[in-house]
Amino acid sequence: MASQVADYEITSSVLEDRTVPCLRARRPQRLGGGDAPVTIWVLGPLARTSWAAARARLEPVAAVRDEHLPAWLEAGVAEWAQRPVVWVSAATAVAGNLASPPPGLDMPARLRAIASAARGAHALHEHGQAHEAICPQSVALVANGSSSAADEGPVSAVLSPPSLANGQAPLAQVGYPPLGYIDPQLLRGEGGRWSDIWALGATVHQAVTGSVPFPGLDELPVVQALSRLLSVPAPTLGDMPDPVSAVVSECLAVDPADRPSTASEVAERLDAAASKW
Amino acid sequence: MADKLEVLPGPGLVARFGDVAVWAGPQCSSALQAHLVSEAQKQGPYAGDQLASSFIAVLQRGDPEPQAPFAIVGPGANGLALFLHGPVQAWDSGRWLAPQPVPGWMATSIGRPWPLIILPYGAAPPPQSQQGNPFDLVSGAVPGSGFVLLRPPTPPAQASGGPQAIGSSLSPPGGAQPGPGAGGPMPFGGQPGYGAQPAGIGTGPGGIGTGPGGIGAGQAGGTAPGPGGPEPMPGSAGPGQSIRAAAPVANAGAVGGGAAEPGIAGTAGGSAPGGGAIDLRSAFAALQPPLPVASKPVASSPAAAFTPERPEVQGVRCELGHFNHPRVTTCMRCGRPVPPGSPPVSGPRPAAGVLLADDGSIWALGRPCIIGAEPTSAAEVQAGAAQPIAMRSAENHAMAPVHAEVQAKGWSAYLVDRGADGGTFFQGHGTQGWAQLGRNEQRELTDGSHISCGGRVLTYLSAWPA
Repeated sequence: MASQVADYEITSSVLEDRTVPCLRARRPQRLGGGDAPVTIWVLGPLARTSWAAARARLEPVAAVRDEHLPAWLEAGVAEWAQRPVVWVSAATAVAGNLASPPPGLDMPARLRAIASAARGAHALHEHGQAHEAICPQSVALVANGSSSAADEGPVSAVLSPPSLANGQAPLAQVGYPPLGYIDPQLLRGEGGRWSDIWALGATVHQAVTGSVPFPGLDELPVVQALSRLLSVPAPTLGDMPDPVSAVVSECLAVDPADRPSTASEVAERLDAAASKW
Repeated sequence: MADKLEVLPGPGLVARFGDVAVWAGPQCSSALQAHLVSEAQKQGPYAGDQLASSFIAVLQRGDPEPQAPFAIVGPGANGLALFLHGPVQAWDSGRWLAPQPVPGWMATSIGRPWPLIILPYGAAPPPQSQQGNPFDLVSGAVPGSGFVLLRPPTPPAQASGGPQAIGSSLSPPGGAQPGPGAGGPMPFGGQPGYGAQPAGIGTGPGGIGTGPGGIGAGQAGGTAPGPGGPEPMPGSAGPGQSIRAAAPVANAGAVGGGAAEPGIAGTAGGSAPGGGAIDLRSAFAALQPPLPVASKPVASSPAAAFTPERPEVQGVRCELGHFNHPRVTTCMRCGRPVPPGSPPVSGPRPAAGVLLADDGSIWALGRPCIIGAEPTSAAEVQAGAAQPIAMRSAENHAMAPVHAEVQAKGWSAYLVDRGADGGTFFQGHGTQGWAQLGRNEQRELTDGSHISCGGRVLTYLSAWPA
């Protein structure tokens, strides 16, 4: 792991993820605000000529301020693993994410974490932005404020960086988001609020059943996986207990009009499911 | 001539003569490049204004090369005159300037030009200036993809806020000027990073005021934010300074996650990220309407909720009215059957499929795609009619700035060569060998066929059954 991203000194890796590394770093003195740790996500790799597009994507997202979104600091381009990448920093101290949840995180807590991410998505939607990368990786579990908070266990969640997709960048880049969380309608160029809702359903499906809604998709070569998503729009749902099966099956409806109208509605239903779990 | 002009390596032409500097992109004709170099040799106290006026006079009669990016910088009556034409952008130490719409042209005066960066539109900002940078153009014309105009280091004791002789350098008249002994070309080395300023710099007319501490508030030899990077914020670098004037101050009033973030603090003496960065704490965006909520199709416009802007094609509707390819038997949106013998109807064309690049990136073909090393230089991309797929060439291959295009016609997707020297290649699904397209030739893509440009490979996957 590199020791530095731009002038952020990396102190640890929140999640060793090969697609979107999430790092903990010292807050550069020039930013002020004390020595509270910050979180850096390394998005990319990205061709340098795409920086303008990445910036055009990130700034409107950062302008949406909501408690279910990170407190963004900066974004830029830096070398990472000998390639130019886009990085994003936030003052929010992230302790992990749902891709590898802490062992002690029970199912109700996981559902509440996804509900928090859904509320973050809703905030984006209400400001005209789609996230387009909702998956277990992007449900960031937030520590309780201090640098040692990771040991205390996560207490809440935010929706971490969006996909850089906005028509000026690819839908997915090297597995972010993984194919199993991409709404087939998005692949058809018909994404929107409903595609994030589909991804929320897929994330809950994974949390509950341990797999994405298209069984075996992860094992397929990318070309075949994409072909399958394009040609078989209906997912195959695993067994889920009552509290969540209804909301998941609705989120994953082939027809966007059959899905819950808003991500906020999904959040409310997940919270309700968590309380009944 | 006091300012340092760093030439950025790459295609194009940079010329400097005395107080005037120009950049011409590779899309400029030879005649235009020669004209720009010739014009740059015209000197005078308001040479920048005069050059801009002469070009404006030509453009008002018609733009002979609307896609040709070039920039002219020179002294003007109200500071440093800046003229931009075509897909070009300039960083004036506070914002990016570009003709609106792009391409087009703009003329303006700037009062605080250090660093002034000239780049092709959409290009990434260069890394911070390095000590001993060899690309310092004193006079003449050299290849280059842009340039950075840097203020030379000024001994604090020599700094003055008083007015200076107009036209003594590329500096704006009335702005801070180097003291005696600094009027010649600066020796290499000892150059502070972009924006680094000694203390005690005065202000130029029309510029953004700077108080003690100066722009960038850097200590001599330190580094300040790179282009596009976070700026020193109010309260950190002296009274009167307001660098991101267009942005709201800090994140006052932020709630939730943003609320925990303190107001933007001082940056004096600090070093900023290399390679460019943007401050998201004060990010703001024009109010955008909420994303639409999905709704069932209505009989009059079955798919209008999803694809209102696409050209119409002939297709069939499923039981619920979703618009589909005429060959499908099951709706690709809702999974319900398409009644056999359904009459063809017109509807907006859905995406033709996806492109999977060899780096793992996936692109939906909702709009035409321009593939190249600098696809944002394509007029279609600048007009918002196409999406750019920026790719670097593989080793020992060449990727043109605009190399190839994938576009949809009817329900099919086509690969189109854009005249790139390196050639555009096609390989059908299940076939061996590559076929090179002729210049501007187009070839229909079938599901699973491959495209090769600059040694890179993309695979087309159709959204519809064969």
